Amino acid sequence: MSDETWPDIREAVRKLCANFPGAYWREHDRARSYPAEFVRALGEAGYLSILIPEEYGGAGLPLSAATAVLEEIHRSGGNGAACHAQMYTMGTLLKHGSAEQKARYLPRIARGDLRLQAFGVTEPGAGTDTTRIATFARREGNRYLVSGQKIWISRAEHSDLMILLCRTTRREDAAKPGEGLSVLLVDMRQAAKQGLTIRPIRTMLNHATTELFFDEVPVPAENLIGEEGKGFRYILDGMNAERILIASECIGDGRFFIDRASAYAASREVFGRAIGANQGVQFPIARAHVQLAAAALMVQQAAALFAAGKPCGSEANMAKLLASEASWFAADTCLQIHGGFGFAEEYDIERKFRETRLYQVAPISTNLILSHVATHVLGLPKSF
Amino acid sequence: MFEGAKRPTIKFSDEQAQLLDIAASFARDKFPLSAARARIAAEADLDKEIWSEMAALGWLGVAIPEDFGGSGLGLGEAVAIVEPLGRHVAGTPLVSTTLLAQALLKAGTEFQKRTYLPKLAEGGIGALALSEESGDWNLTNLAATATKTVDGVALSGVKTFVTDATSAELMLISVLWNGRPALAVLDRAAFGKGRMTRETVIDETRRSYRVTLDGMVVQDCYFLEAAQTAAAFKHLDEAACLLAAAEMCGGAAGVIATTVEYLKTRKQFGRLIGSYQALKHPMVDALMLLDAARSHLYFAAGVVGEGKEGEIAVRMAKAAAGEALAFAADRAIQFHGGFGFTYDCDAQLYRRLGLWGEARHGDAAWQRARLAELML
Repeated sequence: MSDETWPDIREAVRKLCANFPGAYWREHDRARSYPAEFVRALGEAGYLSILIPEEYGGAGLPLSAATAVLEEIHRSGGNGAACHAQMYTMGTLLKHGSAEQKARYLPRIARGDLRLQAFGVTEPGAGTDTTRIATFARREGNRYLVSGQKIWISRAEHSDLMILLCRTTRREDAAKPGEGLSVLLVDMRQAAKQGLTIRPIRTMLNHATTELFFDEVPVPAENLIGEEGKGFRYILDGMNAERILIASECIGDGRFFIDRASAYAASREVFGRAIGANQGVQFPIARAHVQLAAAALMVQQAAALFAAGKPCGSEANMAKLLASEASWFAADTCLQIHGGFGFAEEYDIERKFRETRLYQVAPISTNLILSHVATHVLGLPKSF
Repeated sequence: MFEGAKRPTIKFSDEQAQLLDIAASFARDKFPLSAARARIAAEADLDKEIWSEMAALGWLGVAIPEDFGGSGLGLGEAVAIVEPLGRHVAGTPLVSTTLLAQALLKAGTEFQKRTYLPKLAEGGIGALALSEESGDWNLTNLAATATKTVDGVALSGVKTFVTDATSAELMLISVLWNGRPALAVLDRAAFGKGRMTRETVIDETRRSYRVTLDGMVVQDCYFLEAAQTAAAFKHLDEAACLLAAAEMCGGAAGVIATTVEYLKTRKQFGRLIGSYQALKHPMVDALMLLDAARSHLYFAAGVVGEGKEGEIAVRMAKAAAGEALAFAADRAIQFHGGFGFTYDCDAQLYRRLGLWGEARHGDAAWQRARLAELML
């Protein structure tokens, strides 16, 4: 399974994406609006439920199939960030939810009736240091009352449900820092009427990210996923899937830039010959291809480990680091060789350039990945 | 902080520029690269005749006041001489001699200054015994000791990377005395050649020795003023960084010239390889790194010794020069192809010069760590 490249899926996704050309994405970018038509089309074609097991109405394919979908979306000039979380956020529910919860939600998520694509972890006072989150769920009878704040929560306005990580025991009262954290499935529509405020954050790209304020928001106790206090472990799997899928988006971005750069370099003539005949132009494009090819292999390997249920935290991290740097180098090269045209909106390059830059920061920054590799792979002392 | 007439610039003064011209033409005549290779092969420490000419030009005392037999200029002018010598991999004891004089000027007793400074200006070679096997780039992290006995002061410990030790008239040593770092200047009579063992070092043009202090007894009049010693260590470190930066900038200029020459003569696929952008453009990158490093160097040459600003400037200069030379010499090896990996290719002389320069008084990463402390 690990070497499956999903040519049929790729071909079909390319066809679907052809209906959403650069002009479509530019329009949403300009208006800072959600690409709802694209998300709908992708959902209707079944790509967003690709990872959900067949018994719940999904396609039941391994993670590599989802990487193929996202890579093709990005290679076509589109952007999967508006909906990629619909693919993997359900993983927490699938792996750690009760039979009753799965039966209740998964089929509707698979049909697209319910959107579960918000993952509430990060807080203003706790970036990557997740165990320091302070949002607290206080048990009161058959419900929890949630208070606190989350930041950089993507698609919160376009999601019916959210996987929320919060504290049910204060860090100082927990046996270990990683304990006392719990996962709740929050109904966003209900919550919005009962104390949840969503505030969009405007960014340099069209990315529906928000800030959330919880003020005694009630969540039914039955929405607790798994055991209370064990939630930290439950979300780690989801994070690995997220990193691998985002890495595949970077691979798609990189291919977009390399396709565009090669085509332009071969056709554009200056001083009587194609600019691509200059080593100063063709070598960076070739280098971008080499780097991207290596990163793509790492993404494949991480996806295969994930699908096999093996530990893949380091591989997922390394894949994301390599892919985000490779796509960034390709982006910079592509922009540079296009000269002034690279900055013209109609070429889509400046938009993709802004979009791919995000992935050296989100969902985890390059430095934190290096720190993970240094401590967990190489056994060096923790640097912070 | 730098107001009015004293404001330093990234250019040399007319005087420095003139000196640079003279030194450049001298180095070109006296130190072809074949001389560097001859020095590697020969047993002698250096060409005494050329050294005498350098003394006659007043270079050995360039940073020594006229009162003590020098030219009365400063370290800034020494930079103008050291840079072209680096370009030609001259490897003379000029730097160690100049640094020894600086230590004396900072912390020497009146007697030591009167006795030793004129000697250095006239051509007496100065050697520095400051490094130790388990030491680091902090000059005051020392294991060698001095202990007062009935016969005088007993020394113990081992010093490494003492260049030109066997031909030196004077040697500056650092030891712990009563737990505090101390400096002493020993003259030839005090140390015998038996204590010196030749070291094999990466830069083969250097005559480097390991010097054993164990069993040596000296008089306490050899020690520099205790009250000024801390200042002398600091000054030595900064002056050493400055002159190392000068030598490495020169090295970068030399290796760029060597490589450009090759790119203009070597043909592949019927064309000069220098016409290929993949080779031509990195040479421009190398030149830009050198230009930036030189700007740092010439600025530092104007402010060395002036407190925190001076230290910041010399550390930046050394970091920039080290990286400029490392990049240029590495590209030089690559661009010479298979020949670049041979002993006969001059690129290796410069790569070794750079590795030596980086390993002495702190590499670029270490300088940046110090800069972070100084500036942030």
